[in-house]
Amino acid sequence: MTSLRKFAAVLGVTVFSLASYHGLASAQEINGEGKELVMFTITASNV
Amino acid sequence: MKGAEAEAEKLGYKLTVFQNNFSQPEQDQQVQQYIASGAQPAAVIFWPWVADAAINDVRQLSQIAPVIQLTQEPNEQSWPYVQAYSGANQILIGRTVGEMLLQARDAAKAAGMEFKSPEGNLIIFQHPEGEKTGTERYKGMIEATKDAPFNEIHLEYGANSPESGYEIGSQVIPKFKGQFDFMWVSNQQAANGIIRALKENGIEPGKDVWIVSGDCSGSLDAVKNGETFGTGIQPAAVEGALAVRTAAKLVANEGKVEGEVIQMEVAAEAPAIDPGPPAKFNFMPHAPAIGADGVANTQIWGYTADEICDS
Repeated sequence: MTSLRKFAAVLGVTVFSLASYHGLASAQEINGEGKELVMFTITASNV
Repeated sequence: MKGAEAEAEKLGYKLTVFQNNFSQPEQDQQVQQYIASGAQPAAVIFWPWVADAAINDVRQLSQIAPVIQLTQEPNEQSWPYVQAYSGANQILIGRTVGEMLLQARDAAKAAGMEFKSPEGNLIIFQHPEGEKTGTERYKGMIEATKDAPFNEIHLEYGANSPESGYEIGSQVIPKFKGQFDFMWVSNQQAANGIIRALKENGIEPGKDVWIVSGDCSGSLDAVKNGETFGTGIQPAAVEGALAVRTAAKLVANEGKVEGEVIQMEVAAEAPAIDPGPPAKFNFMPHAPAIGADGVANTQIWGYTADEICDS
């Protein structure tokens, strides 16, 4: 691969990675994957 | 818990719940035992029973996971340990009360009622003194009625149940008999007690006095039959579901909080979760319900007014 093509490939991967990172942060599906949440509340509450 | 549990299951979380019987010492012990167990939750949802006394709990919990505070807004001392608040927007509830009072005044005028003063005389039965709920709602009510204020002739603290409503109403009503046109009561439970006291004093609610309640906990019969003009619909199950959503958004966005307020709008069905970060304040939807039609036609996130207020 020529230097120019190598450069373009690296640049393309970098741009793609940055775009993916920003895209993932906003389009990420909420999935707790079994993680724990703990709630402290009062007995009479219907929350 | 039903709202929180259902939402946790939908979002793939395992929810562990500790309930205290209106006891801060009991909650303190639960927190200590939980921390001592070595548990490592993704987030903590915390409803302090006595906010000022629970600061140590919040501080210690914040050392094991990010904390979302539920129902009671954090105060200055607890904010350093809390990532976000999720729950009722008390100022919005107060604004909604104000709007209903304005409509009640119009309706009373149309029905031929003659007021004790040009603006109409108002008595307020508020939550116990010092409770932020009452203070914030009052601010909202004043804001909503500022262009056409009522003549507030008395504010009495303490009524937040049928029993306290009746007890306090029985003392206040005779003192001001013949002087008031409107009442704003903290919640419908207390209003039901106030109504009993009014009737014992020969005063007909919905005719001699027009009543608005801040939220609808308890029987809605008095709203359906016109003894109470209107109430606010505030679903506990939605409050729980929203707290879980807020926690899930916080975890999914690696602890990021963005913006000051997210105010959820009233919707018949729960909207899809927005995957973005939570705000500092994540407020649940709130709707007025005026009369029998208002009760019949109000639905929030799949719950009818009767289901919400009976819970």
